[in-house]
Amino acid sequence: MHDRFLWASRQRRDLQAKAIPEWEELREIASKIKEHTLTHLDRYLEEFECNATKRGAHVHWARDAAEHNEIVLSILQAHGVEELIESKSMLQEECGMTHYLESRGISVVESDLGERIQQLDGQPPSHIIAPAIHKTRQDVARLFARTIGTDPNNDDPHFLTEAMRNNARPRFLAAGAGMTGGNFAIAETGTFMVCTNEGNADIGAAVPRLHIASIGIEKTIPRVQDMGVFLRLLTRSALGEPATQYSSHFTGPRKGGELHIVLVDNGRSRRLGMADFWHSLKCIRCSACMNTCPVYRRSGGLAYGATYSGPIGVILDPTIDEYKYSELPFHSTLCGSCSDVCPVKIDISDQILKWRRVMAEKSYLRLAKRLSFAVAGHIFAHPEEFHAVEKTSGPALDYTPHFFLYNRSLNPWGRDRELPEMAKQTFREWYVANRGKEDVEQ
Amino acid sequence: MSNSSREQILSSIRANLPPKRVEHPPIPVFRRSDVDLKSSFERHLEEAGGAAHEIRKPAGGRGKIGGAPSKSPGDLFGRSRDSRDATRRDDSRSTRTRRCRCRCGARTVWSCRKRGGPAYAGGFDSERPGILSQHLVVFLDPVEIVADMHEGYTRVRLDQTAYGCFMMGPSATGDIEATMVHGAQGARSLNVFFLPRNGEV
Repeated sequence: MHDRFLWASRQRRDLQAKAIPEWEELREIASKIKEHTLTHLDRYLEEFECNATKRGAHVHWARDAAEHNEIVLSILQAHGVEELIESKSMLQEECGMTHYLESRGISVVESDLGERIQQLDGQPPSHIIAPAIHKTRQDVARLFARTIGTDPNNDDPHFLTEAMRNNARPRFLAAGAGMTGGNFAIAETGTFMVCTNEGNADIGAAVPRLHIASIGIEKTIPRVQDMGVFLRLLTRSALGEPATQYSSHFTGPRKGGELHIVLVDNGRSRRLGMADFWHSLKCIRCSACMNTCPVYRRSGGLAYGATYSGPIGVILDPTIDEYKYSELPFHSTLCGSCSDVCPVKIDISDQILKWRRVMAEKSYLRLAKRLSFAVAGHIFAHPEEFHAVEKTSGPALDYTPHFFLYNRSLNPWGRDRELPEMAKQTFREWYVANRGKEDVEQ
Repeated sequence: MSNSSREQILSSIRANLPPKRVEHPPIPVFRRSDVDLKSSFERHLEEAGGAAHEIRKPAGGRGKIGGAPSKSPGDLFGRSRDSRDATRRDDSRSTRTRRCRCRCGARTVWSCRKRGGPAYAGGFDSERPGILSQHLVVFLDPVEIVADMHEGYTRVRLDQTAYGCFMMGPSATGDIEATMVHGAQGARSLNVFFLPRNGEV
């Protein structure tokens, strides 16, 4: 089901792309705008700060997640805020903000439906824009019955969405502050833009008097004119729709309100200096690479054990903690589909391969994995040995004792899964039989 | 704000800037397809869950809005009596329909910006709970429909207003098994009335 939903998004994305004659040109322009901004990032951040301040916003700078959380807490404490309504933000997730604030007595309520589902279930988001896409309607019905008292037998998504609307709306009115992220920060005007389909960011920013926005420093773009390019690419790449229902622009506080913008580094400036990896900073968090990835579609985002999952997570997470996420670059088939659909032309699959080299050179992989990769590398490099293994491994598996195959240390993958049955005929044998020996020899 | 953090971040950026500076690319004027903008706008709005109507004066919308696509429309110009309404304690402010004039409509997306003023759909400045409206009604002069977002952004002045929103349709979510549901948090319905500027509102 997970696979089917995400692949449907990919197919809709393809239809949208085909309908726009200048699609590839837009991708190229978006890529160049991002590269231009990143190679002049100091200048544009100063320009953004200057213009946002002129419009009455308070701009803060956070070197890392800890400083980001401290800044947010100090603003909330200064205003006596005890309840915060949050609009989905991957950066706040990256900073572990919710846990930090809640452990200091501030109640945080997610307002995005998918994010709220995950919060009530005590799980992080599994997808950048569809956080609970791995859950069935029955899962959600049971969860809501347990947490907000709905009928456990009613799993109609319309009913469940309405139930959450009714549960969340009073919280908007009660909250002392609203928090959002920012998809883009426009240097020319000091504006930041937030895309949502539910309109929850707009309500969270409009109803409480205090609005705090956390924005990664790489989200900056130079001019308003550039937005046309990104807005045409973003949602078409993400969901295969022309745009999100709400594309909201905030320039300074509303009348009688207060706006704080926290610009967050958290390793991004260091990443800018990585010759092989700085292009990952171009990411606009559309999730197109996740929707197309054969590994992600089958494993789901939670399996990655990191804030960012899918192909983009594989190249972003090691920049946050190289050792902790050293295995992630191996969670890829290197098929290159992620690079093909990326709206800002990040060379994702090339970077995955480069990260593998880094992990191998630094010997971050466990010994068992290093040895098995060495053996596999040797076999793949010698056709005769490969064919011999091919011929013997199938029958050998039939006679291997079950306890050995499903040994917890040797095969942790098998704890929850059965190994697939070996085909009686190898692909090569099938190819020779069906397409002719000449082809193979050629 | 910590000044030292600001300086440290900027210094770190300057120390790590890629050696090759990239120029900002020119953004060409893309050739527009020769389609009727108004009918294309109506089609895209409908696909996104909204509805468009022809009227000659603002009051003309009363009869037409009843057929608007909305799961539980209530009384669109009055107060909702929906027993499930969770904002009952603030019912008078949160359940009525909000009306506004938008500055331009892109073929696929319309923009809710009031000419020369800071208030839009949701009304940040005058009545802050306006954004909690159950239903949204927008008046748009058809001559202000533009071909795409490039042109849409030339019609709005982000530096003159605190808030502005390009909207595709009513609030929506596909978070549960990718099933499209309208009215997730924001407006349950969105009705656009084609009304020339001299028709007021």
